[in-house]
Amino acid sequence: MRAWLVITGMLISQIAWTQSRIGSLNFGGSFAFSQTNFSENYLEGHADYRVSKMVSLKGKGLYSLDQDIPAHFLLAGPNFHFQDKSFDPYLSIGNGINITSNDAVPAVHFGGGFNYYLGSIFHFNAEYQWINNPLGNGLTPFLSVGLYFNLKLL
Amino acid sequence: MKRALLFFLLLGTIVQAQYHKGSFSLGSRSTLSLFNQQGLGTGVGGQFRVGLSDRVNTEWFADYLFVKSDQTSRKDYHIGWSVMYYPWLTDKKLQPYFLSGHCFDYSDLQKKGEVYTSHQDKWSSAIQAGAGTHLFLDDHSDLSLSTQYMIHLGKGHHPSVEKESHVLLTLSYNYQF
Repeated sequence: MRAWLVITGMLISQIAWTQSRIGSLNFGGSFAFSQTNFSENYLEGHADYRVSKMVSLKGKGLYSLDQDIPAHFLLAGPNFHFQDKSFDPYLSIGNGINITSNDAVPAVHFGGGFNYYLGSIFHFNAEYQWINNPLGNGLTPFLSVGLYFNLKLL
Repeated sequence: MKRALLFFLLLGTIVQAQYHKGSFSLGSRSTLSLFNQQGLGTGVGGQFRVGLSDRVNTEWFADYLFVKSDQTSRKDYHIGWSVMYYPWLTDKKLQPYFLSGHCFDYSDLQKKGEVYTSHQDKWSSAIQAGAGTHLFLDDHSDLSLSTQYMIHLGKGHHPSVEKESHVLLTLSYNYQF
């Protein structure tokens, strides 16, 4: 009986593994490291919805952990995916605002990363991105890594 | 490198969205403002598009632009519209267009003095025209890149500036419903 349960569980897990990501909502958090004039460490919250095989729409927020010089980001835009498989590399562009203690100014970002789907519930994400901030000195690189939930909505 | 090549090859084979009468899309945009009196500006904004026919589309936008130099910082808020005309109808992934339109502008200029920071703000109106192209990604999505020349009607912030004008380079992502 237990063996059947294990086999059934493995089969369900495998079905979820090979499902298309189209219509799925991903959300979760990352820890982001940056080489920046403002602060070094960020918490990143991120949600994206896969609208087609190639495109997902994302929104993300980066919260500075350096309270002396806070510089937070709210960003949105599309991700362009290469394939609809468990290993899911993508390119990313978008825009948003940079919020400092004195001001809120436009920001743009671009970069790339990948999702690695661990099953029907979780996936791992790593992304390298550059964010431009008009108050800073050019493009600031960020590396973020995190674990995310994935919900199949359609 | 192979993946990048495959990505661009796939772009050419997929079903593509086209704008047509009654089409509606929502998008976000980033703008570079070139040749400002204060320097290079960056902007963020949004837009929606309503198609009037296969050849004529309309774009309704709002932008927030920011320029900073050593002594000044300037914020511009644009809200306006453009008419887009497709001279060559094509079913390929690239769809070039001309566009022209009008916008309202609220501008706030801050000057840092030794003791005080002064503010000058004003409302104005502007007209813009240029050209661009859509890059259709799939049956709902496109990237659009356009260049426009914008002339503000009325005097500039500085009394010596009769007319303010700048070039706007805009990249937008649009999702068609």
